[in-house]
Amino acid sequence: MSRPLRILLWLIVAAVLAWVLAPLLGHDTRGGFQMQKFGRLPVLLNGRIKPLDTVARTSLLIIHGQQTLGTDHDTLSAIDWLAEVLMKADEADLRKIFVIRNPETLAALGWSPDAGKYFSFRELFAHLQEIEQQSALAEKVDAQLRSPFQRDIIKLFERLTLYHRLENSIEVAGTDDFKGQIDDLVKSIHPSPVPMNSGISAEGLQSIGFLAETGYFYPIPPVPPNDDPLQWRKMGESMLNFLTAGNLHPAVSAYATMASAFAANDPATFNETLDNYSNWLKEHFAPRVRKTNIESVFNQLQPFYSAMVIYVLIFILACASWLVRPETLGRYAFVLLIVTFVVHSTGLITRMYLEGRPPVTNLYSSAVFIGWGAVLLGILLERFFRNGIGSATAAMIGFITLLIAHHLSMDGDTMEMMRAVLDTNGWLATHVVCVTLGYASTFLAGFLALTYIVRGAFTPSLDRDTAKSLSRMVYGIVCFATLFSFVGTILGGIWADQSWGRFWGWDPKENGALLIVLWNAIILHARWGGLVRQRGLMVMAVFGNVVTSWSWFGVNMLGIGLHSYGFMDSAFPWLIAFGVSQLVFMLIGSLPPHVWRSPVETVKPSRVEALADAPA
Amino acid sequence: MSVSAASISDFVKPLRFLASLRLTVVCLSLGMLLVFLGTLAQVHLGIHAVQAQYFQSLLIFWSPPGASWKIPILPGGYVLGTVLLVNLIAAHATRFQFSRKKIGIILLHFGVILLLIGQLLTGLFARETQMRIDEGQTLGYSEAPREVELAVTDVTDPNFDQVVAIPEKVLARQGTLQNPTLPFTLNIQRFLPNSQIVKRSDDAQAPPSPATTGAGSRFVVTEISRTVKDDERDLSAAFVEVEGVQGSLGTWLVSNAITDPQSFTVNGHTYELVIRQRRFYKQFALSLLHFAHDRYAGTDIPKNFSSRIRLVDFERNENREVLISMNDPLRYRGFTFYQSGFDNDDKTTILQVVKNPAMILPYIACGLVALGLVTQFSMHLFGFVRKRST
Amino acid sequence: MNRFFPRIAPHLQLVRQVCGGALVLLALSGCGDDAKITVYRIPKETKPEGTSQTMAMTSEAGAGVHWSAPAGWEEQPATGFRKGSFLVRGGNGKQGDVSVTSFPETAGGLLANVNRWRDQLKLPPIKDAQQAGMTLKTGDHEMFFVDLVSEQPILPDNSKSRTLGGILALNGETWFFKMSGPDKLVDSQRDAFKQFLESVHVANATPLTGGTGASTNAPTPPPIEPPQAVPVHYALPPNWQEKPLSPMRLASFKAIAPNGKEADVSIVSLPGIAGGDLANVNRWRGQVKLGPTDEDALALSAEHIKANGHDFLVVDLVSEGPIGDQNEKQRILAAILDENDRSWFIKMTGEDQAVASQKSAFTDFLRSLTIP
Repeated sequence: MSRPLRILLWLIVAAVLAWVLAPLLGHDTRGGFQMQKFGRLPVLLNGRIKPLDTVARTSLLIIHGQQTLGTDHDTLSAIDWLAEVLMKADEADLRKIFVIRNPETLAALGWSPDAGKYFSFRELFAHLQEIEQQSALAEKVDAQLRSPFQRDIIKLFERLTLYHRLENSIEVAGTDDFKGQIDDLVKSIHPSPVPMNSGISAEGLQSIGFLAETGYFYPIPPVPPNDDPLQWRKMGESMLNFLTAGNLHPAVSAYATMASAFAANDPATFNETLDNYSNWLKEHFAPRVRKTNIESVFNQLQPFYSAMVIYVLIFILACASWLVRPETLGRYAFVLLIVTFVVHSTGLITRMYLEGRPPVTNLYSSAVFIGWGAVLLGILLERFFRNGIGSATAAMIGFITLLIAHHLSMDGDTMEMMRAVLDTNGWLATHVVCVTLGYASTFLAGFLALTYIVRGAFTPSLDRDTAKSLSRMVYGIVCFATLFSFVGTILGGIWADQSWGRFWGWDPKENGALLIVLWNAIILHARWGGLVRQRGLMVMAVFGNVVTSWSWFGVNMLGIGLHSYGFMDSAFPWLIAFGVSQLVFMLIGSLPPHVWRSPVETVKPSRVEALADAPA
Repeated sequence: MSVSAASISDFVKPLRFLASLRLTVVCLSLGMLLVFLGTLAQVHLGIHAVQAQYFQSLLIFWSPPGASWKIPILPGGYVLGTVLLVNLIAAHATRFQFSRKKIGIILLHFGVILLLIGQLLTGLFARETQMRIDEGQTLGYSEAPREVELAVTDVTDPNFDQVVAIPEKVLARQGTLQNPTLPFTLNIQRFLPNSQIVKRSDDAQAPPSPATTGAGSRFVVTEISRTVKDDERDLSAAFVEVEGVQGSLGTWLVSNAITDPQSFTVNGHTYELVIRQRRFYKQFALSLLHFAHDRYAGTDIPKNFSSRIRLVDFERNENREVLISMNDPLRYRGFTFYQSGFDNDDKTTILQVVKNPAMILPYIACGLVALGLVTQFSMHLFGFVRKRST
Repeated sequence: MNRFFPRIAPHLQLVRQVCGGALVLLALSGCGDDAKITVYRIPKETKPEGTSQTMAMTSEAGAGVHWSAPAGWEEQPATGFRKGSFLVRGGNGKQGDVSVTSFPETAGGLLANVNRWRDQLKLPPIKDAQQAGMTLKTGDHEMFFVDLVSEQPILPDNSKSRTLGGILALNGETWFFKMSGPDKLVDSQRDAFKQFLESVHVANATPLTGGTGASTNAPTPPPIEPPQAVPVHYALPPNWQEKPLSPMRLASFKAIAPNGKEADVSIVSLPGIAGGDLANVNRWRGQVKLGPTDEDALALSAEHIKANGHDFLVVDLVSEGPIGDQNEKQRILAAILDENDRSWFIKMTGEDQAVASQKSAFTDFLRSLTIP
């Protein structure tokens, strides 16, 4: 490649890297408050210590469907929104964030269908009893059998509950001067084992009890040097502790001061208190602070989103390389692919560090890992064959899987704690990784086959050499897929045998994995026996996409068995559409060669490795 | 020569068919269909019914809704597995030559053969039961979670009970039973695998109960279909008439919902009738010392659970403490005890007890298959790389 | 936490019998003999759990705590925050009431609640709860059992009232099992009540649906649980408007008086006795700058309004002079209701005349309150 072209390449790489790292430049200081630093404060939620930023992002995602909130004037980041909810609830209640799409839900609340899509907490709170009743009725129905209205109303109630609990996590929602209340408390009460004898008013005690019960996360760390995650407390619990034992925790007054300062629009006090508290945390809980800081940065960077976008660029470059300047564009695509792979890998490794687990722990991480595995294999293929096909298919799969992951992240925190039976890192690292690599490679084989069919049937660009390379690629990847899916499935059986004494239980997920193994085995046997040739191999490989998407996603929608992740109603039509599209391509691939635009010859079956029916 | 040649070729043609690759592909494809249909069927039938009907069966039947006849449409798991096994063995016997190049494939096929045999043996001979032990309780038996038995116990002796245990399969046949150790016959008038039992006071319209004595008269029993949910148990019931030499002593309603045994006396012996989960007594006993259930902070998500158990076996002079936790079972005298679950607010542990003589086979099989696959594919890969570099 | 050792002696004996005594084991376990009748001999087992007359299919309650009601107790719908409710009938149309309730944490503590019950029977409070009752073993829990009888006949039919109670701490909650009614009737039910207490146990599933409780499911996002709420019904007098709820109050109103001023009305509910009547009245007295009063004076000056089976203690407190920002006389009209192990405070505050003008509306409001 000539020098100017090489310089252009590095410029492009630099630009891409700059774009990936750009979010780090943002410094959220809305209204003069150090919002970014506030977002780094660690709290305990759902068994994991995480930064407030994660709580903000996941909560806003659950309630509003996005990680930012757009208003008429500007955009609030998730932590801006959460700060308002926590410390200025009266204003936050007016923001229209709750999405209602289902017309029946609107009707149940007495609104006409054109009342809009977004509603505020204040508007919905007036109908809370109604919503609660409907939700309770809907819950009685089995999850798989619920109507769209029932699912919608249950979701709405869950979101309202989440919001209500969030706004009562630091202070009782709508409190003007929490610090003042705390100061009063410190002055007037004398700790006593029976909280009511401490001199607190009945109403005061009620509100503390309310905070303890309703609060969503646990912001108050244990008293150092205690570092036990089980000892983190909710605001109300810590205050109750203060009533019975004395010793107001410094975190309580820190949060109270910040809350009052935020409500009174006093950035100076807010920032100062925030600084002091952060320093105190760093002094006593350094390793936790380090981890939550890394998680905050990770949230900001959103590496998977960036990678997803770049994969599209790579795909375009790779496809273009088949039309013009194959060497240059091919190389550009390949280099960018490696760069993006690094970004993808960094994201994956960071997740592993934050969770302390092997890469695949839930459906979200399986999507990310399938993309990663497919891209890795694609890079190896491109390195060998250098014809842009490896890059194109890798980029395509990378994009699709990260898009799926992005949608899966809408359910909440993607780094959840693992249930007891699943939490052995050994098996997670072997069985799950193998099976997921099996999925990735079957998908790769399928997409390679799609490339063959699309290029062959619709363009004249499938020449003999390309067809042969593709054939070798697909065959090689199917072998790889057979190995990993078989070994992965077997490891799963051994894990099951070690855990509950049953090697194979015909569980839907197990069955799905078995289907993949069987199909890959059938492809190989059919190929070896000469039952199919080049086109037949491709058509069968495309069916592998159908089998794998069933095994990966479809079984989860049955809602049964040991692997049930719950009903994913929105994904179901997409799954069906994907299946149908693959069947269409299979049909196209089966059309006789003279219909194809490329000269696909009927190649004589190669008997080099055939275990053919020899005469006895 | 002609006669023997003809008979040999008669033999050869079906053998060739049995050993053919086409048969392999057909069987594997049918297998995929079987697995897929079985997965779908689980939504309505539940996993255990599907296991029995689809995978541990010879044929799969289908009947149009409402019809009483059924036609076989697919071979069941046992048939398909056997055909695959025969196909694999025949292929190796006829077509394969033992060459170095084929070593990978031979290994892996041998592994598959072992796997199939192992699963067949497991299906036939393995038994899974459960032990529910409360804290402080000592238990010397395990129970079948989905099978009941009628226990007729002679409780006269102050030190021992003599139990006649009638398993569900026998009860289902209904009719009269006679056992040489009992001075009466039992007439199983009706056995209901799953039922609904309500107080008679709540259902005034119900027909009179067939039960003439004991608790039966207070309840109304209606038959319902067996449960398909994994965490529910059937409420079995039966109407049992006890007939002594001088005639009927009465008809009792027995059920696993009626936990207090109902008794009667014959020839100076007191007998108790009760339906309970089928018990399998062991020659040793387990006591639950403590069940630990750690949760993640601020949640109800289980982090790990474990049971501290005392194992006592007087035959073999064993008296020791063991810790059974998830992914760490106790293996003893052919049984393996897994930490399966808990109940009663962490005061009861549930252990899964598995006896499977074919347990070791999958491990050997998997090792062979993995070795075979790796060998075969690395040979391909290196050959491919070598060719590319020339 | 090895509770096994104190009981090792009898258990070893049993185990010895189980193993060494398993003489004739004619059972063929696990070899496909599913259709064979087996006969075997085993040593006597100790029967698990207490035998109950009723079926194992007992009534459920939420939160996994179960009990069996003795024969003759009529189950009532468990409304409001009662987890269980029964009616016991005696001769001459006499009735006793049995309630099961639970409250978070210690709900005020043992002593406070025993004194509550004593207070309801017009008995003087005691200092040491241990004197009031005894510990009862129920299964593997320990329940605190009290047996209280009023000294005077306080019931409408001129009989003494008796309360039998069981208090059980479980899982961060306190459960209260209470039977109250005419002395003779409740007295005759003491054994049945004790049996009832002994039947209390915790289970995650009903005995029939033998739950494995095994969490073998793959991780799902944990459900977001709503906090508890206690419902109350009322009829709103004219001129009273609902105000937006603040979480500390169950209900909140403003009453507009003829003189144009607004009075603020709130209903607050707390578990247990929440300090006691006197402490709360003195707190309110403090708020209108009045000095504290004592038990006797309170007993003399306070009114009692009985309605709907509730007995409200009502106080009417006026400040002596103008106080506060508005520099006007303030009045507090408040009612305290102790019922079902919870205390309810209905309070109206505002300018003296405004509140005074609403006094009859306040009384009407109290009469309209149904607290389930």
